Amino acid sequence: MSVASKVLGKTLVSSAERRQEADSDWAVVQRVQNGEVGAFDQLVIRYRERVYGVVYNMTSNREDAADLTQDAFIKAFKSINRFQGQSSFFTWLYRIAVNSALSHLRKAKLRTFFSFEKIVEDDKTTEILSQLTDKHGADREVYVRELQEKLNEAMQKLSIKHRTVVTLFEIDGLSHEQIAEVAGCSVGTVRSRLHYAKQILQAELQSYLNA
Amino acid sequence: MKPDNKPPSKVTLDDLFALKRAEQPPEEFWSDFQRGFHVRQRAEAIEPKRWWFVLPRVFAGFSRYQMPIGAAAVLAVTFLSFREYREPGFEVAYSAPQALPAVTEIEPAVESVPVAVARMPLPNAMDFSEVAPLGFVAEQIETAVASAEPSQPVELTPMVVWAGPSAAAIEAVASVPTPSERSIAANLAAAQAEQLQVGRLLGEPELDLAAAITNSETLSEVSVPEPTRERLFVYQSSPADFSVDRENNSGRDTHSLIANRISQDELYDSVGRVSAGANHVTVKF
Repeated sequence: MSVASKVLGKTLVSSAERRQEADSDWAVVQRVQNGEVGAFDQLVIRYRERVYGVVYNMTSNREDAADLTQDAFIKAFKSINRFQGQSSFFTWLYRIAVNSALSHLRKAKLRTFFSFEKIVEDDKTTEILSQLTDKHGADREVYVRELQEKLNEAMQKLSIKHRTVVTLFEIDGLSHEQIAEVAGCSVGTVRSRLHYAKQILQAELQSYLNA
Repeated sequence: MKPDNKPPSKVTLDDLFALKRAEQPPEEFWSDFQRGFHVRQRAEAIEPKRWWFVLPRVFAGFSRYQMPIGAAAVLAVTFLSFREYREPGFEVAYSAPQALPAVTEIEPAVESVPVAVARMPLPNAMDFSEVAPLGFVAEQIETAVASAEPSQPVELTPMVVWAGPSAAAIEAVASVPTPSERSIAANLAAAQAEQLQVGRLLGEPELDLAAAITNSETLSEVSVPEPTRERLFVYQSSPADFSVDRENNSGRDTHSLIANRISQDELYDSVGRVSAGANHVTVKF
C-alpha cells in the first residue's frame, strides 16, 4: 500500500492521495485497454492486499478469500474494456470483489468454516495483545488464537450487509461515501448499518473490552 | 513507577479491529497468488468468447430506445398471439350434424352395411412401394364384404397419411374472409391432401378437388358421376352391389364397377365427418 498512509493504526487515505491514486489507475487502465496486458499486473500488485483483506474479513476463510480475490481480478481484467473511468478503478474493483464475496457467502451459507491468517505484529498490535494477555494472564499464543476465533465468530454473527460495511469502514478505512458507492446504497444506510453492527460487536466482545 | 501501579489501559473495539487488520498472509502467499493469477489470466485469454458476450456492446447504442423497443415488442407479441388464436388452422375437425341418415336408412333394401371405409395406415416413412395397388385394395374390400354376415356391418375407415397442406392450399385458406369459409377451405385443403396421397397410392393423376367441387352443379342437377367423385368415394358400396358387379362384370375393372354404383346424392348425404389429425386425415361416411 504505497500511497496509503497509516493514521492511528487505521488505513486512511486522504482525498488528495485518492485522487492521485485514481489518476494513476486510470492511466494504467488505458494502457491495458490499448492492448498492454502486462500493465494489469501493476493494478493487481497495488490492490491485491486490500481486496484480499476485505474478502478475508467478510468470509473468515483464507482459502475462500484467496480464490475470491483471484476471481475479482480476473473479472476485472475481462471487463476492463467496459470500464469508462466514470468511477475510480479501485471503487469499481471493490464492487466486483464485494459482489463476488456476497454471492459466495449466499451460496455457502450452510457450510461455513473458519481459517485464520496469522496476526502480523507491529507496535500497535503488540501493545494491544500485551494488554489483553497481561489482563487475562493466559499463554500468549493460545490467547491470541482464541481471540482470533472470537473476533471471527463475532463478525460472522453480523448479517452479510452489516459485515460488509464494518469491513470496508473499520478495517479497510473507506469513507461512508465510498462504501455507499461500493455497496450500492445510500450514505445514511451505511451509517445506520455501521452503528447497528458496532453495537452487536460491542455486545459480543464485551469480555475483551472491559477496563 | 512500578509496572503493578500502571493504570489499566482500556481495550476498545477499534483495538480489536486493528488486530483484525493485522491478520495478513505471509509474503510467499503473494508470489503464489500472482502465479495463479497469471495462469488463469492466460486461460481466460485463450478461451473463445461466447457470442452473447458481444450483445451488451451491440445493444449499447439502443439504450435510449429501450422503452419504444419494449413497447413495440409487446405489441407485436400480442398481435401475433391474437392472430394465431383467430386462425382456424388445419387442425380442424368438421362435424356434420349427427342426424344425417346412414346408408341403411337411404337404402333399406340393403342389409346393414352402412359404412364403407378402407383403413390403410401407412408408415411414417411413406414407403409407397409397399402399399398395395388399387386392384388389390378393391379385392380386399370385395372379399371382406362378401365374407361378412349380412346382419353384421362392415366398418372400414379410410386413413391416409397426412402429408400436410400445400402452400397453395394454405394461401387459399388464408385468403378467404369469413371464419366459416375458412373452416370449409381448411377441410377442403385437408381433403385435397388426402386425395393427393390416395392418388399417389393408386398411381392416378392429381385432381383439383377445389375446382371440381366449386365447378360442379348442385346435387339435384348431377346426373352423371364425374371421375373426380368416382375417385373420392371409390370404396363406398355394399355387399349386394359387389355381388351383382361380380356376376355382371364384363371387362370393366372393379374400381369402375364400384364407383358407378354410387349415386351422387348418396355420397353427399353419407359424409359424416372430416377430421384432420397430426399426420392423417380421416373421412368417415
